[in-house]
Amino acid sequence: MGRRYTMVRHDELWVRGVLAESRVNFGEAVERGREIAARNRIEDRALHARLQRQCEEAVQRIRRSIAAMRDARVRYVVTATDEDFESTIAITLDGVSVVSTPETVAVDYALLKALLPPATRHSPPANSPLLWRNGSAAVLLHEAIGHATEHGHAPLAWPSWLRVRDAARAGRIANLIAGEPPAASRRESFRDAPLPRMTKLVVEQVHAPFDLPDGRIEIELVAGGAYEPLTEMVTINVAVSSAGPFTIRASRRAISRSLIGASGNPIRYPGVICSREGQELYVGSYAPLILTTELA
Amino acid sequence: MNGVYRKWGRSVRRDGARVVRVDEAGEAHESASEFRTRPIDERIDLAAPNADAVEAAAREIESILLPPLIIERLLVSEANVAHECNGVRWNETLRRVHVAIARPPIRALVDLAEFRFDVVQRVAAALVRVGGEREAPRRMRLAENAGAALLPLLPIGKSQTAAPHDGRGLPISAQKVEGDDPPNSFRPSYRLRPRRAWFHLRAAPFGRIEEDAPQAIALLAPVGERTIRVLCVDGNRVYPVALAVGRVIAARASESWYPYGAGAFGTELMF
Repeated sequence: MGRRYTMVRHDELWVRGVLAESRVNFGEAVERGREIAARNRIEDRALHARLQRQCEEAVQRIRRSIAAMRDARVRYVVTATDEDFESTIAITLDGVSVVSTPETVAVDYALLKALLPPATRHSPPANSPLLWRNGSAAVLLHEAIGHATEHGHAPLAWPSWLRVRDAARAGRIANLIAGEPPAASRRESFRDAPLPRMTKLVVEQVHAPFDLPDGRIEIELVAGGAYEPLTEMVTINVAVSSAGPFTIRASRRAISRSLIGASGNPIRYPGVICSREGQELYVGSYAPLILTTELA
Repeated sequence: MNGVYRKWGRSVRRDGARVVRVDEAGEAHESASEFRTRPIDERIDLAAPNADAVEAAAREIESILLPPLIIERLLVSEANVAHECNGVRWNETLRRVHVAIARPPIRALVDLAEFRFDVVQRVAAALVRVGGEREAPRRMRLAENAGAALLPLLPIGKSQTAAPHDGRGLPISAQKVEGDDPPNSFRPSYRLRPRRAWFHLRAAPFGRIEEDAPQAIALLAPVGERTIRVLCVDGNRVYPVALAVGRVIAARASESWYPYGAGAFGTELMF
């Protein structure tokens, strides 16, 4: 008997208050050695019914919570597995997105509305320190530290006040800053091979310095990021900042040298959908206010 | 467009070191405003894909890509698929190969729709000798596998090649590609809303390909809007190049089909 993974998923796309797309999906995969046999049938009928009920109840709750968002594009994905349950809601307004959960969707929608409209695209601002607000530094360090550990890249010397961990199910923790790989293997669907992937990235600071410099750029929301494993370069597309949208490209070594301060407790960043090897996964992301030098 | 589309599939793929077998079926309901999909219980007789051929192809590729080359990603698959739409049922067997070959700091991408190894061999031999990045040469040609990736985006004469079925079960007719409203629909998965697309593109031949010009033999990144990064073989030298997609002075089609968009035939290009 191999290891079994069972999944039921329901996702919907609502555009300006009107249902545009609805998908139900279910199936299971049995893993034996290096072979995975997957099919869209679940042998255990009681388990199937339970997971389906979990999904449908969540769908009803989410529909109620997004009913008022008639100016947005809203896509939610509800996934129940034999091990876990996850709901994510992506809200897009004027081309800028946040990714939320049923518990936080009202707050995140209000945040998104308050931060828009973004200014026109800028060149990367020169010589301005960056203040990463709203937990957005979690995206920077997701790329520069988290993905580097997934690729087995050697740890770097980060500031002694910085802590970065991945918190997976059942209390499993990986100390990413020490180079430990993510604590769990995850997959997007029963059709996919599980990979070591981050679950919840938590950045913390212990007695970090924090002197707010003049002339800083304040980053509010990030549109996306990438880590190039062959060159160890990080790309961050800033969506909303005091200088408008811009793109940062820097080596992870340069990023490790750029951290100059932090303040407060970790703040939940509204959303990271991480894509690797064609599999998109939600990664919870938390970081305190973080200051970096300019990053070209 | 209203309608129901059903798809049954049995596939086997080598995904890195793993072998993944997938057996699934689903349907899509589409109306002017809504698109809904769900799995279906109904099963039909569908032959198992050839797992031995998939494994043999994967092993062959692994035997070609030896250090200092790194296999960053390897996907080799075969699928037997049945479709049903608008009262029409049709079957197909699909083969796909995707290899990302790294020679840090660069990676070459190879996408094929058949288990052949000449392109992988050629790219591997070149990557072993690769030097630093250079300016694009004044004249340059693209090998057919690299040109096929670019063809859907190029404003050159091209035609759609006839085939029995599109994503709605309708025939695909041979015609010149003109305008922005392709007559057929492309449906790569039952879970995706079909979109209009030109199928099985083939470049209309023109100009002269200069056989002695430096040749780009592989993409080093997915095709961008205005530039492509390619691996260039120039006599004894091999180097990466960022090539502005400028004026094409010659094109020549081959009979190999590549899995770019809704399909493109191999296209040698001369810039």
